[in-house]
Amino acid sequence: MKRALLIGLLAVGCADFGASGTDGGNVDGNGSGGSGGTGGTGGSGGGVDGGGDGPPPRCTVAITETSMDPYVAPTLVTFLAAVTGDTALQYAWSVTPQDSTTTISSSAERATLRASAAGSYFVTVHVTTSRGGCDATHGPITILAPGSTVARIRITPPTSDVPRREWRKLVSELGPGGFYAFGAGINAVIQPIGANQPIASYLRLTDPTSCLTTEAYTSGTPGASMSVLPVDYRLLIIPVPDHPDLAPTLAQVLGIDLGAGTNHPEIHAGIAVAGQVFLSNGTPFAGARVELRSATLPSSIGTAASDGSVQVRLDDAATADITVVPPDGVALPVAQSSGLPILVADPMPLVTFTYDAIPTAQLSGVVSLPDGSGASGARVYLATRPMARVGQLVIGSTAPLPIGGTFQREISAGTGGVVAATTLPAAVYDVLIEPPAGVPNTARTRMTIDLTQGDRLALPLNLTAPVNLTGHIRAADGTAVGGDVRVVERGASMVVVHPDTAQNGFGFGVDPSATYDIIATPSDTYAPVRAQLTVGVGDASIDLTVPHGRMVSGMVTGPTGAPMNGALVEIFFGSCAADEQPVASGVTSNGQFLLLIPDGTQ
Amino acid sequence: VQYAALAVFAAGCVYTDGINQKPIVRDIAPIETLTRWDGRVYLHVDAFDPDGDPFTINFTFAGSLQRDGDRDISFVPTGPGDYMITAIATDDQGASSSLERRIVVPDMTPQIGALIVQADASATADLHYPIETTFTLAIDDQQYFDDDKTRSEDWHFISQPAGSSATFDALHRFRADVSGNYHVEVTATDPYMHSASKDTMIVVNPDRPPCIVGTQPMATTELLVFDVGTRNQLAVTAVDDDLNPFPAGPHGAAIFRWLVKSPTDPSFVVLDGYTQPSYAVDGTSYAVGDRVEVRVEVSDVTGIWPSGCGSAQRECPYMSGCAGWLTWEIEFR
Repeated sequence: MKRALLIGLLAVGCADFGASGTDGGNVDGNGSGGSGGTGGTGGSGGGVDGGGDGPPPRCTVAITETSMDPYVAPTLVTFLAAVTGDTALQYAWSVTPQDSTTTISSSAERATLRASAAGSYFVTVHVTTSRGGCDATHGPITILAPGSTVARIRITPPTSDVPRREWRKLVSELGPGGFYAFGAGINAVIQPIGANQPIASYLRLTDPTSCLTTEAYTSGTPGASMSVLPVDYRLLIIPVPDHPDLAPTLAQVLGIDLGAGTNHPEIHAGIAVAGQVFLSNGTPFAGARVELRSATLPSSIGTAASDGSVQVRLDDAATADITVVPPDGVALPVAQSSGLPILVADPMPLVTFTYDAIPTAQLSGVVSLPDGSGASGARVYLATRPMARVGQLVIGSTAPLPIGGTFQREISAGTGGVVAATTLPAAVYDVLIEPPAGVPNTARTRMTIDLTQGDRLALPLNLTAPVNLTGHIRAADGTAVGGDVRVVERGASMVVVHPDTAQNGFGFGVDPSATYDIIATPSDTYAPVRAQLTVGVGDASIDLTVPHGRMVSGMVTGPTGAPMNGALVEIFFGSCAADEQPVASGVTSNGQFLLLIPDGTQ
Repeated sequence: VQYAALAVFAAGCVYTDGINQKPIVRDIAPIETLTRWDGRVYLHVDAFDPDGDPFTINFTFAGSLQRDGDRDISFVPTGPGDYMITAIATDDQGASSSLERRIVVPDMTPQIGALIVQADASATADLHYPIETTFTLAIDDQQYFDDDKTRSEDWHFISQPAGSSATFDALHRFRADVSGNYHVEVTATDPYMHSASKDTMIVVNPDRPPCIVGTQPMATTELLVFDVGTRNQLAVTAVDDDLNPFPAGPHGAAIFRWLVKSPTDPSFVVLDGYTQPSYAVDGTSYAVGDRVEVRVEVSDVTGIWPSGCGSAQRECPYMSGCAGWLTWEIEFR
């Protein structure tokens, strides 16, 4: 059962608060210019009947576009219908013209238009109520032909009282003189309710259009205060600490509906999944943590009791991966069913996980600096490569499923760099050795250690000197360009950033065998460029060719209309994604910014 | 009136020419008292002819002399000093006399009305400046009075705070390296070695520790939940500081250090090499249910990190209310 949770009140006439996304701040703040919303009735229809002597009651419905234009095919456009005057029983959505390139799917008051070709469309909803019905049409919705790129201009105010947000434009429309006005925002108070009482919870509002999140935590009473925008959010509620009768819950909410009073979203009980965790010898594995994760949200975390029993709750029936985490200090891997998800249904049969008998081996050694001295305080990170099988899962009476896993351990070197003998699962480990803080000319050093063949004792864990990463920023014709170069290390628990100039070439001391993102920001009329490079055990070189830049400038103002100084402006191309990187970024000075994006991008 | 001496004799007249007296130049003097040399000097010539004869006056002068009237002349000095001028009066009988005068044109002693203090940092309401401010001092030409177009300036400290090694450079700049009072004086000397002095006091406040005023996500959130396996960025978006705010001011940006307290760590561990305003938490290093604390501390050019707070404190607040360090608590799911 899909539980789309609508919080608060839906307002008639709040149309278009999220639809344009163009400059000028018309989508900001608290929905001024739309509204009439505070008097909405949430579909209850109370007071509309008129006592029986008046005209027959008639509902009204308004369609709101909850995604933001411009739209470039293929794309999704989302809508929300708000009904007043009567109780909605059924929603029938349609699109005009209806052709093979468009489909509209709906779930009650929400609908999604999928358009795979350019066109101009109108969306209509017919609402059936107990005493009749009403219609509304929204449009035209312009879908641009493929080939255009949507730019997202993300602006993060310097202080946290104004929520960051994004504006959307076609890249071809980016240029000088944009105006980006922050509104006052909407102050929302959210107090989740579960099992008929306020629940201590972590809250995460995510705008799927921008991937921007707003997070808060409430200990139950009072609710959490959040500054939100008038956009369509997904609200994730995770009871923390875990509640035995409640599941992390996902709901859809409209930011504009959160502004009045305290909101009380319901935390669902979800589906209870009971299980047991055992060691290979059949002993209950007390203290093991268990979590399920569907495509959209996690379950609660259950901790195995002394008899190995454990229970988690997942919001909805779904396929889900299971994770079993041994207690701290136990030399057993984390078991993960990645790629072999289990089907969670209601009711759910007993789920039993049993670890295999995993052989162990001991590791010890001495971490030494490049000069041969002991590296006291060095940290050694060990991580296995994925292990094909660490245990088996039995769901009810089905056949056992093999479950893989991974193991990680962090060890600190003692006096003289000595790493005391440590018992680990016998596996092949990728090892990262991190020198003690403040030791110059010493790199983080990677190596591989194979413990499958037995103990590896008194290993030399030698730290090495950095290798040189050099190069130039160059224009397309090969001439050197001045600028700023940063290298960001990937794949380690650390990310290191080196600023440098590149007028005469750049040079960094970097870790051998590490992968780096290299970002060049030319000081001339060129646009920034980003590259990735995996450095070997020796010196490396790379030239970064920067494209000609196109100027994008603008003014950013805060809720009072004053220029916003120190705001971070980032331009992204295309739809948002996790860990995405901007094509250009900068900080406002006296409210103004000037960035260069690659010329020629449409 | 003409004066003629006539002797008249009877039975014939004995005519004797009268004695023609020569005109007399009594004085050559400036119309006004001379105080500076950079303007035209106006002189008046006091002369007469005892006989009442008409007479003319001519001058000898080593330079360009302008006649402004029968008795008035002027010249433009080329500098302070003595200017010799001779006036020669000649009447219509050809009688003449002369007078030489020394006109002393003085050099003015400079007068300094005000000093201009420019700073590369903003002063507080009571006109106190932050430490490390670079000051550029100048004489206010609008209030500097002298007849010379050039001057030499000697900028120096009458006194400066103990421990300060601040000195003036050739552009009259100094960097306030220590808090306290900088008593500054300038002596302006003109080309004729006349000089004047003016002093002013510049007050420099003690360094104000930087503090964090904005983060993303908000560190005041009691608990964040990150997904295992994802990277999540923690960032400082604004630092308030007198010298090194973030985003950067003229003196550069604040510096940061990041610390992590993992489930297995007894205390926070400084992450060597992290000096940027953001830090990406690598969720692949953690397991479901792990809790980790990430702390960011801020410092300025002094390199002094926040102190005076217990390690368990999530925030290390200053009197101003904002914090020298902030801590995010993260649970992985």
